[in-house]
Amino acid sequence: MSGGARPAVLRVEDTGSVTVGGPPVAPAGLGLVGIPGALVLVDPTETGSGLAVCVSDAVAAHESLVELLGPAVADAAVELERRGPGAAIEVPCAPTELATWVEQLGVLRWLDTSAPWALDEPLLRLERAVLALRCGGLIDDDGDAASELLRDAEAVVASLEVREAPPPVEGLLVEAAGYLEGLLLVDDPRLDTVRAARRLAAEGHARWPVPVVDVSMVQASCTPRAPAHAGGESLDELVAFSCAADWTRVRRGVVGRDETSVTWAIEPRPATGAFLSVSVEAQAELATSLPLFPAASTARELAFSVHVPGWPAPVAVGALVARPDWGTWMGGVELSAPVETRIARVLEHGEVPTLDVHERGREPVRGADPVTAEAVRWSARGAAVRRLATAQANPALWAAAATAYGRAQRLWLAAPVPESRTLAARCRELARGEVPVGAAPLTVTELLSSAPQ
Amino acid sequence: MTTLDDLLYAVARTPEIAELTRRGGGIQPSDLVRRVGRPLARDELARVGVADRGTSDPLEPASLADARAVADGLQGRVKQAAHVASAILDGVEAAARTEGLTFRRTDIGEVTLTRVAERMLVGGDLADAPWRTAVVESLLVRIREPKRLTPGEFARRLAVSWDEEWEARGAAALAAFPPSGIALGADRRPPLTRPGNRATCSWLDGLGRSVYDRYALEWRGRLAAPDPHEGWPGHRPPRQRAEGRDGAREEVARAARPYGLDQPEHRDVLRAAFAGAGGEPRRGAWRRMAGACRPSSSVDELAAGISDCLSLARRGGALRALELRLGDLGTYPDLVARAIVRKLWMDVHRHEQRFVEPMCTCLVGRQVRVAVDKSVAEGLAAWLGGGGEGGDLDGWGEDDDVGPGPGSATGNGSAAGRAQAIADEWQRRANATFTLLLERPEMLQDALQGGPDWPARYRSSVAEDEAGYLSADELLAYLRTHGAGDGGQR
Repeated sequence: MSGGARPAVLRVEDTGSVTVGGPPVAPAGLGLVGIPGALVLVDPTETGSGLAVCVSDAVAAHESLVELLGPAVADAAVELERRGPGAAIEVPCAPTELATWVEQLGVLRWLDTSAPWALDEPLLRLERAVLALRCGGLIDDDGDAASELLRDAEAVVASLEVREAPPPVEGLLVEAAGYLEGLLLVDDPRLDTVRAARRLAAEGHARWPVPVVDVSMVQASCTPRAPAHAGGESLDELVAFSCAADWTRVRRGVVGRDETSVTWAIEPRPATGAFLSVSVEAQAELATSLPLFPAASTARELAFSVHVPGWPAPVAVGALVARPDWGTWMGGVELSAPVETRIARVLEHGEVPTLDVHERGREPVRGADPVTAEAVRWSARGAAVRRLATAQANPALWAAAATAYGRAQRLWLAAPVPESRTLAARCRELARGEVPVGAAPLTVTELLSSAPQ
Repeated sequence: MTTLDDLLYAVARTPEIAELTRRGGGIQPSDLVRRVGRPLARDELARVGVADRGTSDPLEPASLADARAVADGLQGRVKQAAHVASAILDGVEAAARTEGLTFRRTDIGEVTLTRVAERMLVGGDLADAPWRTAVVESLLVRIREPKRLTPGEFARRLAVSWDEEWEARGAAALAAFPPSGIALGADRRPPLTRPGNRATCSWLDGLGRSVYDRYALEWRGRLAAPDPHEGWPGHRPPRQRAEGRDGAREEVARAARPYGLDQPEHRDVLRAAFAGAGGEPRRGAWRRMAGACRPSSSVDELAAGISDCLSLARRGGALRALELRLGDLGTYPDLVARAIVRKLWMDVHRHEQRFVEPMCTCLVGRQVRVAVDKSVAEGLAAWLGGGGEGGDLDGWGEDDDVGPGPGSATGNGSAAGRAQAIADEWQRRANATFTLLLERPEMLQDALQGGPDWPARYRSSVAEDEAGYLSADELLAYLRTHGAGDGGQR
């Protein structure tokens, strides 16, 4: 990110915190990186153009800000904090290489919540730890990164010894081994192995072509598919629906992330009453470039709840069971007569019931708006693809990103949030390529998780 | 306001030196600045006639150019110091192995750099073998000295004391000040050291950390920042605790006190944070709280200030961005309170480890701003986001309540069967209850309006088969958090 100073506006917010660069208009959400006294807000669509930082304690953050954005920004933050809410100033901002690493860490954290497709989990874990440690004490939770890396120490060594990882991954492994060398006790039996493996890896590697993104997978993820409703307007015959599993209520890595990954149906059963069945696509498995690393544990308990318009409570709830052989999660519930009657009435009025899939303990919250949630999902698809399109200069990917952003724009306009117009306008700019594209590289995880399997 | 440290950090971050420190081996950039850059720079600055103002104090504009030239000119020497220190560490490591001693290179990197810088200052030959041998010997002496206890040493030395402390005071403190009452953690005796299956712990865990992990916090962190409130009317800088005290024993005693804290004022801060996170904002309360410095303030005043601060923070920035993704933060009162309380616990606990007097209100205000503007976003992102192994809601993976519903106890491992049975049973009762509410919509309105006698009316409605329905408390808690609210959203 280094490459000369540029102006940055600093402003004191109502709480007394100082924002550097202004809060980003980020329809796809943000990646957050804590540094002492401040929070770096990384917009995945705006990497390479300077960091946005919310500084809550300018004195505690001073040293870190100097290292990230230069002394002018750090000094101005301290000065503004003294002046209080409303004060603003423009100063030269000189992002350093360290800022690039922090930004990449922010992108990885954003991906961890918002990636629209499966990620290489061990690679994500390794790259996150390496980036945090590369920042050399600047990141709040680098201690956690060190602990995670120590936990994976054997896998780092074993992966270096077999030398089968692609060069960018091997680069991360070599760097991780360097950190392990400082973190392990010197009588730790693993230390010699770490050093030997690092020396071996330093001997060089064959040339390796940068992988090309799996365009068909990306295009498929960006093709709008609206929730569907098949069947009649009564429960006399089978009615079927499809919808998305909300990304905030089912964390990444468990179920499919497209808009129709959930299908459910109500089947009339005269003898016992109607039966509601649910099937959810499980997350597709992704081959990892670090097969010797322990797999991430994504054991989750999933449940569903059924809702009807105008009724502030679910009408039925049920559990979902993983069926790995079929690549799905399945479940069902027998509907009581009053519930069946209520759903039938809803259908007669031309409305549809909704079904929410969630992890246990993450039931839908009061006031959560499905249009906003869908707008965020389409924005995230747009952002993820736009980053790939930028890095690979691929027109097909640009087109896919524009499709996703187009859908997001329409949804934001309909979303009941005060910023809807701003966010929609931002999506329009991003779809048209009007937002300058920074020079920040892709993370290794992004690149390898979107390569053909 | 550029300081000498700022310039020196820029030197430590130059690609060649950064590459060296990044490769591991125990040399840290901050140590290079403190132990090598500062003394060498001071020496050089004295030569060119720039007054010594302290490395964290702003440089005079007139001397800035000289200081910058000096710092830039040190690049080669700083790099040399890093190389020499690394070689010495290799020597220490070899000797330590022979003697059967152990250490982490990062643990003695700083003192090694100090020795190298001292040699540089007197113009000594860094390649001189007897000097290097003497340094290695002195470092070995240091390695043999008592240092921060390892978890095993801590457990061996303090297991009996911890049992005694807990029996004498801890159990009563837990009963009188249950951490769950302020979202600080589960109500149970903390383990003396971290269970083997837990790789890390962070501020997100609150009191879900072992006594050893609390003790170890004293060693964490970078250089202390200067007191930001020096010179404020009413501000009295707290006194540093004495060197050489027994931090391990102190922590064991502290862990047996309410909320694991010594100072009653600090417990008030946490109670206020919990109340404020869910309270109605009182306009102007935050500005009043943040603008004054007094020894302490009432729980009500603090709570009003925190509540107002939270309301202001939700207007923009990270919290607003998070709301777009997660929905109204008001629907996660438990998690918002949890983030603020747990972050503030870290701050007041750390303060107790370092200082004699409790935090005064200006320091509390500063930490509240960080907790609200920074930690709520981080906490919610961690608890509600994240894939893979991330984003678990619980401290020890047991019964750290997060809200109503069957997932409050997210069972795993051997507890999975039990959790499944609880969930199945909850689901059966929930479906019966939701059917009942459809049949009697007035009962749902009653519950949502929350009149004082609705629980009694509800109980009488389900009296025939009380065990077959959600209890009034369960239903209310569920509707409060998970109900669609206005009824028109879904």
